[in-house]
Amino acid sequence: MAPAWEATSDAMPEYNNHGDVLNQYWGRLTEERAEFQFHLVDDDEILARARCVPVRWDGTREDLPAGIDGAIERAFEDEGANVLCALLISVPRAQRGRARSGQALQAMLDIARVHDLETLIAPVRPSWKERYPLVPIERYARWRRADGFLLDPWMRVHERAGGKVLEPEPHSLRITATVAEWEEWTEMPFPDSGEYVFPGGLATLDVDREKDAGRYWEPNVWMLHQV
Amino acid sequence: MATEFDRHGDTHLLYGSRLRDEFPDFQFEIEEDGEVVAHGRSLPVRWDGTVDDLPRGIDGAFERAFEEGGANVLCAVGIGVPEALRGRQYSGRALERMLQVAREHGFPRLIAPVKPTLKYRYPITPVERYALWRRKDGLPFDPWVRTHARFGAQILKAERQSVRVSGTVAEWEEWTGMAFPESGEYVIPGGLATLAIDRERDAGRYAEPNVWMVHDV
Repeated sequence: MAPAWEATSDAMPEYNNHGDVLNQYWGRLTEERAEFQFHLVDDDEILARARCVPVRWDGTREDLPAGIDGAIERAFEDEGANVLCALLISVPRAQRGRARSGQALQAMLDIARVHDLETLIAPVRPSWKERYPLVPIERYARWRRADGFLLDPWMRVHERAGGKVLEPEPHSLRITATVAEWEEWTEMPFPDSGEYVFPGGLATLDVDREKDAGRYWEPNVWMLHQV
Repeated sequence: MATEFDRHGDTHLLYGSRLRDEFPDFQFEIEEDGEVVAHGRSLPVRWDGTVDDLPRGIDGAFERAFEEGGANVLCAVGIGVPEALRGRQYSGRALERMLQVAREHGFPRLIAPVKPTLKYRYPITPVERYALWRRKDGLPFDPWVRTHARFGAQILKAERQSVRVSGTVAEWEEWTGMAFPESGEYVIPGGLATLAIDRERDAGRYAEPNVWMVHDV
């Protein structure tokens, strides 16, 4: 069986694997919080890969972690974890459109229940935000379809599972790298300093050629499930 | 890359059908084994040779060709290659043919509002900057601008409003396969610039940027 990260390596754009803060802690999830990491499998096939971690949260908006970066930092640096925080549900391309992400979300809620955590919070990565990279997340998070459900498919899966929108977070995941790294990840040249949209980007990339730096903040939407 | 909204240019809707009837000598198809591998559309227009007197992009070229006399240069308004035949130099051959058409009619210059092939990947970059981008070898960054440059063309200026396309919000949603729930600027698939949506006026406005280039025939 191929390693799980390999099976789901096509699920996220390459740039998403290079979080400044996220990558400092990511490897510790399977070593120090193993009971919260899981895969959905069918025989030998990986249907979904999931990461979550308990964190302390007092239940107020003000106390929400600063996005996914803040959540993973809090999980390893703060005591008193009392809620479960979703970090990733990743479905291989070949498995899309089969409700796998919803199944993985249910499994995550089960894990919270088993560990007597009454709340699951999720910094949701809205799947269609990449089509609207110029729209502020605060506005995007409110968009609904004619049937009243949320416009974004992944937010809608959360909503259908009982999740409520808590708060949009424009600065959830920070990714900083050299221009050459960004060019490699996105497979496009950035000849000038300035703002760029790029494939799979949920917001724009800010390129500064003088400082040889590309800065990106991935927006997420905090959602809340009562377990 | 032709998109659905490309078919809805305000000016093109007005004049497009008259191209063949009124300027048949300047429209051509290139065939290979009975199959059309490229087509070219061009129009004779008046131009005094200064940057200031250039028509407002493709829209302006159509207007000038049909509404004014005294044509003294040929203006390219479209070179197309079927999707399946891209990347085989047919567009270069069509450009060559267009230069030949200009020569045959005694026009000393061909001007071209060039639609930059890769601009759709840089929809928020001003075309004035994009047009200046060059590769390490010194040739223009954009492949189609580069083809023109290889044929000896010079860049004259960037044109932000070459082809204006207006529609209702519902039309734009249909053309692009997206939803536009709010007023604001949107990136759209295949768009060389952003689309401005005004929900109160039920209007979406888009202008395709081009790069004016000139060939000595």
